[in-house]
Order: sequence, then C-alpha cells, then structure tokens
Amino acid sequence: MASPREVGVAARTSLAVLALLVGQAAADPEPDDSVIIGADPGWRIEDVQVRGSFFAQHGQGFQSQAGGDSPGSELMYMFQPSTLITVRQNANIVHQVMVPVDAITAASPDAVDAISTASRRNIAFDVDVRSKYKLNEHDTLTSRVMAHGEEPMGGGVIGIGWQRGLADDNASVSVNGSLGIDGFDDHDHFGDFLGKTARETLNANVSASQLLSPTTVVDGSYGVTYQHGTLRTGWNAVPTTDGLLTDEVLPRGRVRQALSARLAQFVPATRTALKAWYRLYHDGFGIDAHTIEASAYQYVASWIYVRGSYRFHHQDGADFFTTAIAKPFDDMTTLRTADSDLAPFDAHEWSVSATTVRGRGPWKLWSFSAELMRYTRSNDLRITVGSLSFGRLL
Amino acid sequence: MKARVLWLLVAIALLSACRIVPRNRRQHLADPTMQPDEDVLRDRAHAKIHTAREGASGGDGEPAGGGCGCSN
Repeated sequence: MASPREVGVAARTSLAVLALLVGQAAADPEPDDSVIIGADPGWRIEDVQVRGSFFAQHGQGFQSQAGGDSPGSELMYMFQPSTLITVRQNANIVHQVMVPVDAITAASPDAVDAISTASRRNIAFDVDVRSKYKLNEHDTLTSRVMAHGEEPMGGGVIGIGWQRGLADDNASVSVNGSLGIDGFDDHDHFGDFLGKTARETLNANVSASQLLSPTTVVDGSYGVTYQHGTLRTGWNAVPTTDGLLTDEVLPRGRVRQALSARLAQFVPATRTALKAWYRLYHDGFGIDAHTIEASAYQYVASWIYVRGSYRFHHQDGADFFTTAIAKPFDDMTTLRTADSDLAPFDAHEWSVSATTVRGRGPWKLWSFSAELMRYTRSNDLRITVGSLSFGRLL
Repeated sequence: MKARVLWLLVAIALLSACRIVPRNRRQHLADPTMQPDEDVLRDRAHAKIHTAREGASGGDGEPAGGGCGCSN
C-alpha cells in the first residue's frame, strides 16, 4: 500500500499531466484537411491525352454536284488530331479541355465547292471546356463552354447541368441543358453568296444510372433538341425530273428526341466487360431511327485489353426526301432534299482496338491505344478510320 | 409512347432507392473498361461520323448534324 506521501506525489503528478494535456489541446486547434492530406496545390494539369485519326471517305450522294444529275462523289480525306487535357483547380473543381482539329481535303470536290471551297479544303476546330464542381458529397454541378470555327461558319455552345448521387452512390440522376448558336454563309446551289445566316439549338437531357450488382450497371437517358433558323446546307442540290438541279428547301424548325439505355456487365472469371446500348430517335422531319451497339472488352494481360465493337443504325428518310422532284413546284415553299444523310438507310460499323491501362504494366504513367474502324452505309458511303493515341498522367 | 417513357422514368426513380452494392464491393465497377466514358477522344471521333453523316443524330446532348459532312 502506498504511503500518504506517495499518494500525494501521485496526485500532484496526475494533475500536472492533466493540465499539460488540457493546455496542449487548447493550444492546438482541430487539425484541418491540409494538415492531414497536405496543402491543396491549386491549379495543376493532371492528365494529357493526344489522338490522331485519319478518315478516308468514299461514296456518292445526290447532294454533291460532282455527278450532274446522278449522285456525285463524296470522296473526302480528313486528318483529325485532338487533345484532351484534364486540369484540377482544387479538390472539388475539375476541368476537361478538348481541342479537336479537322483538316479536311476534297469533300465533294466539284461544282459549287470550287466557289465556296467550304467542303473542298477546310480546317475546322473546337475548343470544348467541360467542368465539374463538386458541391457536397451528393451533388455535382457541370458546365460546358464550346467554340467552333471553320471557313464559312462559327458558333458556340454553353450548357449547365446538375448531378445527384443517391443511396450511397448506388444510383444517380442528372439533368442538363445547353444553348448553341451557329453563324455561317448562305449559298444557293449555284454557289452564289446569299448573305450571313444563323441557326439556334436548344437541348435538354435527363438521365439516370443504377448499380444492379457488384458487376452490373444500367443507365438511361432522354434528350430533346429544338433547332431553329437556317437548317439547310446552302450548296446542296436537288435533281428535278427534267434533269436540272434546284435548291434544297428545309423547314426552319426541327424537334429531335432520343431515348437511350445502356447495360454494362463485368465478368471477373474471364476479365471481360460486355456493354449493350440501344437508342430510339424521332424528329420533326419524319425520321425515325433505331441504333444498337454491342462492345466487348477482353484483358489479355493485367495492363492491356482489346476491344471489339459493332454498331447498327437504321433510319427512315425525311418525309420530303426525293432524288427527282417534279415540276411545277413552288421554289420557296415545297420542302425537298436529296441529302443522302437524310435518306432512308442502314449503317454498319465495326471497330477493333487495343489499349494499355495507365498505372499498370511496364509504362506506369503512359497509355497507348490503336484503333481501326469501318463504317458502311447502304446508300453508297464507306468510311475507314485509323487512329493512334497516347496519354500521360502528370 | 409518352406513357411508356413516363413509366420508364418512374421505374428508374424507384430503382434509385435500392442500396444494392456497398462501396467495398465495387472494384469491378471501377475497372477502366466499365466506365461509360473510358475513351473520350475515341467517342468524339466516332460521334464525328454519326453527327455529320446520319440525319438521325442529336437529341442526346450533342450537337446535331446530318448535312455536308464538314462539321455542321
């Protein structure tokens, strides 16, 4: 048993330690995030990706005047370098800056294109900035600012959206909208300049996603777009029954709706990912379309996978699509187009690619990808695309 | 058609109440191949063809095209 002297010493020592701890706690406030995870380094580039794609397009369509009263050549080559830079502003704000450039040569290389050169040789570019602002654990604001430029045309898009995670992020819902304005030169089918013109585009989307299992996720979306203004392509021509050509005439308004759903399934036993996607489309031109796409991803090592994809697209033509309009017709009010993009057709698309995964394998910070793609349309259009890309985490 | 879309949205909203997968069992869902935007630049290159050469593009959050094949 301790003596009274020993008890007194122990009590005084305990009080001193207690006072020291209390004093220390009072002197040191609660540590903030910067103490625990380090100070926010501020603006920094996190990731850079670069891709180069070469497009070779062959085929014929009535909108090209290179064929006279028969479908004209749609021969086109395009080189598209593009860059995607991810910039983190702070812990809650991330920006993605995408700059694709299209160097186009020899699209529809005849007739009025010699006047406007709009689709003969052209450089087109976008600067597309998409940002995410994490408001709290559940809510994220998104924004988009995009500018587009090419020889006879300039335009831009601004958009804003909101996303909310639900049920511990087992699900999410989001809404977004955008406004786009394009200004461009107007021409008739002779190539005569008719002045400046414009079109406006309003778009709204709602989407949702849901985890169905530890390996399955499904998402769906609905979008509606309203366009107003000059929707026609000025130099497009429409053949008449007497072997002449006349101007394309389109409505000045168009409502487009699309409903889509996607299912993604991972198979751990084989390290395979399978994705299926369906899209239903309807618009005010009378075009209905169905699109399906199936993709398979297979790891051949922990750091590289191959991807195979097939896409099928079927669309009805616009109500006023024709390849031979009969006279008499009112030049300004009779809707007509011979644009092969507005015709009824089926399109098949195949692509294969190989991609390395960053953070794995021999090139920890680097990724590489190569892709070959083939797109064919039932109304005489064939496009082959070869792409190489690489990226680096910074 | 509108009623079906409405019911689909209601079903999706109800599904969102399900807490099915805890965070510590989402490693496969986090795999790069499972991300909806696992290759943004590739998707953009593909969309370039679809928006330029298919009249039935747009309506889904991206600029609508279907014209001359030169970016509009």
